[in-house]
Amino acid sequence: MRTDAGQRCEVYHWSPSRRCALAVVAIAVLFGLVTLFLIDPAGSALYPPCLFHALTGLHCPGCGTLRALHQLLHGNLRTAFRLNPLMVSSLPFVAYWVLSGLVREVSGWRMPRLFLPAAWIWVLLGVIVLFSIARNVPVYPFSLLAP
Amino acid sequence: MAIEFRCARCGKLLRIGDDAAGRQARCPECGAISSVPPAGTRLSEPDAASEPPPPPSTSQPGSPFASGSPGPVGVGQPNPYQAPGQYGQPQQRPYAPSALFEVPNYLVQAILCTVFCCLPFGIVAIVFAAQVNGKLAAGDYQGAVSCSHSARTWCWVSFWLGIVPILLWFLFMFAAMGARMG
Repeated sequence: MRTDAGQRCEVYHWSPSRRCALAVVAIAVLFGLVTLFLIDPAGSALYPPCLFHALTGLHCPGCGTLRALHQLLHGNLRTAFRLNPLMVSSLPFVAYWVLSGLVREVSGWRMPRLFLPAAWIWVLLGVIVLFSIARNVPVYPFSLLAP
Repeated sequence: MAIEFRCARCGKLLRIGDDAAGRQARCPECGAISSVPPAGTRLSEPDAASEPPPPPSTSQPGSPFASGSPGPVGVGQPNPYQAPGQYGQPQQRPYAPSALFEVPNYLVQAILCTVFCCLPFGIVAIVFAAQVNGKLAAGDYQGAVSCSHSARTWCWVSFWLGIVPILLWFLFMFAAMGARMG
């Protein structure tokens, strides 16, 4: 008699090459955050100009992210939100994703995965598209969204 | 699709997604690390034709494979874990496939690319992420996997198109600095 149909198991991620790659990414992120903390992207020649903005003159949905991160690192949530509300509101989800990935990497324990119904993702997509259009409209209520 | 193999230490039958072929997996039972055999390996065919399939663990009367759904994994029969249209009826089978294999939709990566890489290609990845979850909900496992691959591809396209100009920028800046100093 067949006793079981096979228990689901996990890829064991903690291999040396993967650990090296993770370490490199972590160091790069830390280095970037320290740089962002020390040097404000607004009015600094250090940071590369946005290619999309240079070519089209438009604000893409990610415009203002670096400036917002700088403000966040200095504790100015309000200013950060004004610079890029999309990035600031997505940060908690990104943080959970990073945390659950790290926990899984180190201990193998799976944190509950957030399964969004497809309709929600389509709504999110609509919000992002509307946001990127609205922040390019140079009229009062919309101009608030521009970085 | 799934690979089935046995834990090298405790012999427990384990199951893992095809993309894990050749990598290492940890047995949830004893914690030992085993190598995953190549894709297509299956051990869970009914051991003998004379033996009946396991009794249903659910409260539904009759076989869990009743009402036209394919039987247990076996020769000449479609894999029940690929069978579409089953997600809404978890009572039909002992397992819901989504509980066996997660299909990543790369939504977070797509949003990161949209917001950080400053490129509209992340939007394409979000479109595929939505399709992954939509197809999973509709029971189209194969379609979901294919959309998952597309989402991953577009995330990488967006990532590299975003990161390469930035790296070039720093390269030129340091080169200019070096030229000024030297």
